[in-house]
Amino acid sequence: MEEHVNITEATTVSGNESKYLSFHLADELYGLDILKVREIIGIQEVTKVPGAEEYLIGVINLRGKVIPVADLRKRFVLPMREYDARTCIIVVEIAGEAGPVSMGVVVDAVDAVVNLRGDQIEKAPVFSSEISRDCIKGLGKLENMVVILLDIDRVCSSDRVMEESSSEINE
Amino acid sequence: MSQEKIVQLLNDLAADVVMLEPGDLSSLGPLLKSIEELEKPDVSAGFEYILPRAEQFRDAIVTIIFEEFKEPEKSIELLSTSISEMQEVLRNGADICHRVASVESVEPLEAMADVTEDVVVEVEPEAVDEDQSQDLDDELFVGVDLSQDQDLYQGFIAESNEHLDTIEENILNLEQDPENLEILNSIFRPFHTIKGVSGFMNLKQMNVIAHHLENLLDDARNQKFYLDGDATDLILDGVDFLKKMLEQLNLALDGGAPESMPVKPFLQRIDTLHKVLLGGESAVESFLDDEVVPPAPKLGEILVEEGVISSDDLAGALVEQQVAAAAEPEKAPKKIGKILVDQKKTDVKTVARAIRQQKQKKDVAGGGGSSIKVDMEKLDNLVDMVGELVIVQAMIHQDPDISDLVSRKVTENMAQLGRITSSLQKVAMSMRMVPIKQTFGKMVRLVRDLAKKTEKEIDLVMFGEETEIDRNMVDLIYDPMVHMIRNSADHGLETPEQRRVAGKDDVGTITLKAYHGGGNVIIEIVDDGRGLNLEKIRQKAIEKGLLNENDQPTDQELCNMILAPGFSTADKITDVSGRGVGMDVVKKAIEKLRGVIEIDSSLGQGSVVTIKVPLTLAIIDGMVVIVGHERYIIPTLNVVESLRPLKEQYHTVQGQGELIKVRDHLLPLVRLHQVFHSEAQTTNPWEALVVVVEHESEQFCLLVDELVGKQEIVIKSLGERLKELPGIAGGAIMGDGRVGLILDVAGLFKN
Repeated sequence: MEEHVNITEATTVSGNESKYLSFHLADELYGLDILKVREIIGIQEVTKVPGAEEYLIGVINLRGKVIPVADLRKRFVLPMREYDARTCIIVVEIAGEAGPVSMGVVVDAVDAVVNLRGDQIEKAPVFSSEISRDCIKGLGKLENMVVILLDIDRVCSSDRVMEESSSEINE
Repeated sequence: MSQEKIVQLLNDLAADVVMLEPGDLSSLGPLLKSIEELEKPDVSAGFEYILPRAEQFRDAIVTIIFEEFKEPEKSIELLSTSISEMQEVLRNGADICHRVASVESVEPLEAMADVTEDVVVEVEPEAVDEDQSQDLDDELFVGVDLSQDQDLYQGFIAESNEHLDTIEENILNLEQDPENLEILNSIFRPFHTIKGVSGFMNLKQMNVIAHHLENLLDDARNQKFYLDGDATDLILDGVDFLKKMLEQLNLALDGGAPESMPVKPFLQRIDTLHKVLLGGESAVESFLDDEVVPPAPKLGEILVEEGVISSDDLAGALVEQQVAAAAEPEKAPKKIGKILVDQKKTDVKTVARAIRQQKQKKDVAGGGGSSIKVDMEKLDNLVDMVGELVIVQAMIHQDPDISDLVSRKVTENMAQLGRITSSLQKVAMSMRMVPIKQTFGKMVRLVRDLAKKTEKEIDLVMFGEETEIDRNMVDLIYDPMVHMIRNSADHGLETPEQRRVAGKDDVGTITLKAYHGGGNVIIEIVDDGRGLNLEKIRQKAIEKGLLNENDQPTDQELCNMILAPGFSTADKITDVSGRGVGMDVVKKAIEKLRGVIEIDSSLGQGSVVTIKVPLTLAIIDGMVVIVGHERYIIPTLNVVESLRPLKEQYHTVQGQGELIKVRDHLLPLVRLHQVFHSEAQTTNPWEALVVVVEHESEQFCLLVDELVGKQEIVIKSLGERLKELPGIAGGAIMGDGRVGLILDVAGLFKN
């Protein structure tokens, strides 16, 4: 009987646990809330959309639906590099004005699905002017590395963040 | 015969009754057979006391067959009570024996049989109604717990509104053709449904109103009288009344307090008119009227056809029916089947079969336009998927590995696959299309009401109701159309006196036309009223600063000025229209649909409003061009021509940019690669191509590398993130599965 209680407690603790999809971008490991991820597809030819924000590299056809694609390297003003076999588009569902909308996010490579407990996540320090703190939900501590947990809604929403960071630079 | 046999029979009967579905005439046959079996002397020997009950039961079934389940729940309930009574009697065997010996013992059943008569035959419908309406309150929804089953009520509101719309549409048809039973039926049925469901949902007032209107219509259906103008008005008012109740219900669902409505006075109005109508034309007259076309063959005719009865028998029965109807006009006419059975010309089973046959024929006659409702999103998904299927099919077809195959079978199968996919695509696309009839139908009511309100006589003539239009478009063009028709009725048409003075017919005409033209649906609203006063418009335009004193606009330009914001030429503001708002809203709404609105008018002759909208919001005809590595689609609507200019046609003007001289017109050159900051294969216009495009009668040239061709393009949104990009109207999935961008010529022009 006591054992049973213990199990319940254990599950409650793990109730705080969330799953994140981790991926590589430049030299860092980033994480996305797994509930936001719809699917992962290989990189494909993207149709450029003139006049769009810089990091929105264009649109693709996802089974009959046209979805915009953002390049995270461009988003975070990281040096660009050629796409290779490991380059992926993670299709995420972000909050739009009228309900959730799909969007593709180009990353260097997908890593794994990691479990993080509440106590493994720390608040993000101010350490970068390129990625505004707004976009970062926190830092996840794994055994020997750190996962930067992204708030994908903010990452993919407008260029407000960029303005903010540039104004920070100006200051 | 043993008791077991009877018990067995009764058990079977009970089971059959339980399984009985309202309207299921065919299962009544076995019931009749069983009860007749029970009544056979050798079966019931020793149990004669059960016979009176069995007979009652049989009569009840017969009545049900004749009345085609008028009150299904009650009838079935009666049957099952009757069965259990018989079982009871049988179980108690001997004791009951004595009681049955006395007449009183049958009383409960007899009383029940009376009820059966009352309810099923509806000898005196008014009497039944009176009981229902006695405790009616003007306060709505008292004692109804709306917090329960919110969804159920919401569904009811939506469904009922649809039914009421159907009624509205049909009743106006009925006005044109009051003897058409089919139309009458199509009005009767929705009322019947509303009555049923509202009763079930405990919405008493709605139930009673629907019921009274249904009774009125039922009598009309039975040709006791024709619905005249007053009756039509009343039914339309009834529709409005019910709609208002639904609104109140909606309000109450949202937690608001519903207003009380004068339910009783309205009921009295219905009953009064009902009585007046009943007092008028007699049943015999209308019955003898040969011009009445029955929607389905009459029962008697079927029986004659089958050789069950002779035509003399039928004539005799018809006479008896008329005599009975004349003798007791307030009673529902006796059914021909019942008369025939009473005269022993045929038996109940045959009549039941004939009724079933008649019903089938009716169903066939009325079942042409059956439809189901499908979630719009599901449909869109289907269309998307089919689009992908077409692309994949084309890719496989063009795959070198496949096309190199010499197998005849593969080629044949591929061709078949191609045919199937393309017809699948057509079907998927057509599923979104509906005839414009529905929208036009609503206008009939609108014009009728407007005529009443403005005290004018207006005739609405419609053409091209079958013209198909995108389902999404239907809702979007409704408001603009209403607005323009209101204007025509209120400002355009004159009062009868004014018309007489002008030498016109008293009755003004508004003509609604719809037709397809050049990938568009064109809707014309024509009135033969006073037309637009161009001088007045001119003054007003100058007053509003839209026009200079010295400007010389064309008549057409002047007409279209009334589409400018805040423009109204009506001297007095009525509650119908004329507040000076709206015309610009109409224009904006139409433009949003990629359509145009034009007004033409001549003083004293009337005006013509032409609304031109694309067939569907989803597909455009596009010209595919290549600039650098990207493909773009120019809507064909905007394309004037394409050409490779000679070097001599190319000019540059200091400070004005580049120009191409096309047939004596100097048109500005827009380099697409420059606008879109991309690379082009060639930058010299005389080595590349230019496409002359047009927007609002302004033309300019687009510099492109190559023309690929013209094709139908399914427009896809680029999502809200890429919504308002200058020069880009949307995306399209091209033959290779990649995305091409659709150009927004108007947006390019602004640049």
